Amino acid sequence: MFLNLIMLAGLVGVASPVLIHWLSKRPPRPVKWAAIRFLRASVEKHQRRLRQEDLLLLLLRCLLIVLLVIALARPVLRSVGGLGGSADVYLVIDDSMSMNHGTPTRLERAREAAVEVVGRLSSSNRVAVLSLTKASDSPLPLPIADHEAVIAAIRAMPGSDRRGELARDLGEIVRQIPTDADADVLLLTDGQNNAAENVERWANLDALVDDAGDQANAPRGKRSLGVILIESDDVSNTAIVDVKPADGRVELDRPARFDVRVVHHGSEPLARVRVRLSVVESDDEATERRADEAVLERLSPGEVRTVGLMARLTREGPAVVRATIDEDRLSSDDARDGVVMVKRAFSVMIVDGDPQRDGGRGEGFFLARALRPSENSRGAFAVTTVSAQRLASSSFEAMDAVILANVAKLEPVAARRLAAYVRGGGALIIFAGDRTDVAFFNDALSEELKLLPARIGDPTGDAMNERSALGASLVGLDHPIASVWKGGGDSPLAQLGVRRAHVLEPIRPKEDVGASGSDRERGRQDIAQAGRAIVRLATAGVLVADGDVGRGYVGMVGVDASTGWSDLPLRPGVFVPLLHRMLGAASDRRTASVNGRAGESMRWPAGIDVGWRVNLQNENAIERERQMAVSLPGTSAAYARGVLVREEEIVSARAGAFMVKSGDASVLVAFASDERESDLTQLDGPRRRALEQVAKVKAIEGPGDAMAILQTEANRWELSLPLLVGVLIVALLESVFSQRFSRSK
Amino acid sequence: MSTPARQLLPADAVSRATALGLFARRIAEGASVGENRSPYHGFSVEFSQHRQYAPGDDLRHIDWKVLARTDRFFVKRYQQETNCEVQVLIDASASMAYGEGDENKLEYARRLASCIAYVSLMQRDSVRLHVFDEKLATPLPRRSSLAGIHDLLYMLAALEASGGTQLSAALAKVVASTSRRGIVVIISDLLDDEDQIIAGIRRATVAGQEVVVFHVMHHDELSFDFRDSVRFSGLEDQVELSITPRDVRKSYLEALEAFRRRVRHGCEGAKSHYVLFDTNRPIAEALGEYLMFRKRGGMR
Repeated sequence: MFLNLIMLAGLVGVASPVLIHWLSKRPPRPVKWAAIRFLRASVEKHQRRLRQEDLLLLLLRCLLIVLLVIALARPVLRSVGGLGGSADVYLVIDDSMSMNHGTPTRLERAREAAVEVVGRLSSSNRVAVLSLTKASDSPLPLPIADHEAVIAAIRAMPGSDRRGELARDLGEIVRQIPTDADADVLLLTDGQNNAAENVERWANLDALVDDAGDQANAPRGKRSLGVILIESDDVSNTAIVDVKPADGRVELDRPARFDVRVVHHGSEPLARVRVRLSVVESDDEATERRADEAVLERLSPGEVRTVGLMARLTREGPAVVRATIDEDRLSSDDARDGVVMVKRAFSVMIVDGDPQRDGGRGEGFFLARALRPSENSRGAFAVTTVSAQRLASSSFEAMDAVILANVAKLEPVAARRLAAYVRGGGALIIFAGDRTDVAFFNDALSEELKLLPARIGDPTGDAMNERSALGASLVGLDHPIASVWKGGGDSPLAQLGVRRAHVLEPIRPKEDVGASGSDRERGRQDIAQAGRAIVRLATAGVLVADGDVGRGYVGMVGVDASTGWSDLPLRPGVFVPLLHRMLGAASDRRTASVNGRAGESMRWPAGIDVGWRVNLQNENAIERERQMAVSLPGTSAAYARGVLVREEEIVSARAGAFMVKSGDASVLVAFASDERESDLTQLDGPRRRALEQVAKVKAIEGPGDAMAILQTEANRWELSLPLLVGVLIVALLESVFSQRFSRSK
Repeated sequence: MSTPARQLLPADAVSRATALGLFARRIAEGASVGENRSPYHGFSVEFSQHRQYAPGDDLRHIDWKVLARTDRFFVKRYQQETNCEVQVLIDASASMAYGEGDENKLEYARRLASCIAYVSLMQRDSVRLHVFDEKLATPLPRRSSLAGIHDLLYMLAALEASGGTQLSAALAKVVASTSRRGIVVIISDLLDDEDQIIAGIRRATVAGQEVVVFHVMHHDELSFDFRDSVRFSGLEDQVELSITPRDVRKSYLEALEAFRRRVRHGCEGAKSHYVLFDTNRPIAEALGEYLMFRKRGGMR
């Protein structure tokens, strides 16, 4: 490789010794000579030697010119392991959502830069083309020598709405590189700041493998990292980062409030941001219907605003709600789809452990009243009350939620069915009271069936002593249920009188042991027990906790739903919101199973038999302006344009809502982008400097800039100086020989 | 381009050579009294040796001083000084045409021959001039007096360079044509077979002649200092060589030096003198140097 390629034109100067010879050749001067016999003898004797000497001198002079020209062209020799040296080159292209920004998009610019780089590599370099956000979806996961195919793969590489995490994703890629191979990794990315945490660590490729504890696979080949930063001046972006029902449930034909979260990243405030909400209700003849609209007069830089928009949904079943704002330079996050379940009423089964208490005004009574204040009113909840003994014979699987109110214990069959019901997406709320068999709940339900997010402690306090209030306070203010009582001392929660209670011990989430990203995601969904504290007793421990179990939800309260231990049922400002929010969280949890993140696996919703006949439909109404995503079933790259359906999971590279059909069954799913992708801020100064300490970094703004990553490669030897020394040596030799041979220059 | 006869005797050369003289290193057989030593002992002033008296000897030659000391009769013998025959062989082959003006080899050879002839006649030696190329031309009759110099000069002035060189044959004929011992002066560029030249000189020496070789070379031939490329064509051979002289200068000079070394050794072996004359050197200086060397004994 030459740094001053144009100087090679000087190689035509090689002809100069020959030209000089020919041009300086004049007609020989005739001389009549007497002593020709000595001359003839000399010529005959030395003719061959003269020719050899002439040839040697000519070669030396030509070599002199060639060396001089090459030296001026500044050749560089890259060391083994240097970018584009003898190593395999792994082109890692960032295809996260932020790369869709601009016109042309950052991804298009990255692809062009990658093509430029490939064009300058030696034909002996094998090249792989990898997707940063999903290494397993890479166009060319293994390096090949056919550069034409490489360029075709680069140009065909699709974008995505996935989240990019440089450390995690690069680690994934580096682990795929054979350990004994020399590898140059060239990352083409927009250098999104919040995707580059601990940049100084992730840029050290070997450390990435070490971090994974993969010492056995520690690389033995030489590795180097080059980073091409696709920079843009304009990083402002407005995005919708969430849309969901305000309290988790959407009732049929009732106005439902949807919280639409809008965030503005940029340096200048934004005026009059129009936020629209529309709904799509039918899966057969889907039409998008405008539901509500709001205008935000001003959005400050960095501001996150939640807008409440109303919609009335008129069909029972799954529906799509879509929030949109006017398109900006990153359109991927200017619309967001969410799938909601529209229900006429939420069916709740109350299992009353003590139906005879207080003459029928016990647990079941308070709970039923909290859910449905009047028997005749059309409420949001359809309540069924059964005794603990009849639970086993009831078909609670059809219920949206089951409440165990002061139940002592369950029959083993009922317990197993209940566990399966929750794991399949059901909701369970437990009120623990004086009848509760702590040992049964802890041993059978928590330890054996892994059903509970918290262990139940022995009761504490004196139920009969009004003055022994244990007091209550909030913990975990970011918990969606707790947010309703954010009032400090004036909060109704502060007035709650708890005399006796079971202290709950939330189960800590197990350490995530998944090695790879996909395993990690699956592990997250399989977490059986992970408790979150919601309300804490001032003097004892946790009073209310909840957690996700399988695909379902379990909420736990340390007192019963009667007035025996506390005045909880008598405080509508606490009891009703707590109950409603817990059921809302359960509903959220259920819809969460059909609302996923782009690029992350979504577990196939329960009850859908997925076989090879799976057909993914993308309704125009839902994906009206977006790229149609059509998928084929299969496990080995048998998918097209973004959505992968496997037997147990659905993955989509793109955000949006999709209808998945299997035979007669169908399910509506939605994928959304990660809100961190919407912040386009690029690497800040310290991170940039840290990155430059461990990697070759080149920011590019226009075509041709990418070459510099090769030219500024540090692991190279510039050969100009040795060549100039060679020129001097050859010149010296030429002088000595020409002197010795009595030849003029 | 012949030079007028009167200009063939450069004054400075003649005066210097005359002062030094050309004396035979060997004993010459002259017909008249001259400045060369004669093998005939007679009555002269140059004492040679004693001889025991024999009846019939002239009593005037008895050395009385020896008789007085030894009481024996000895007769004094004297060496007779006689004139000498100088044979001058001048090469008029085509190769002698090289050079311009006074540095022309034939011109130089003419002047050299003139000087030798003049000096010889001045010391009452007889001179015969032979011109040769491929063959020996009919010589001018012997000249013994200074008056004959004009004939010699005219003959030299009329010389034209042509033909090849057959020095050894010419030398053999010259030696065969005389019965008297003397000096044979060869003035030539010697561009002939050196073995034959040396053999001819040996034969002449055996025949009692003292041979002196004046090797006349042009400065170009000795230095070979040409620039650019040159197409050389032979003066005697039909050969053409287009070469860059610098390329072959070294080997040419080596070949020339080797040739000269062989000839010089051959001459030394035959008790002859070999003298190189560079035509850019004044004759007075070059010839004077040789005659001085010769007067001092001629031993190197």
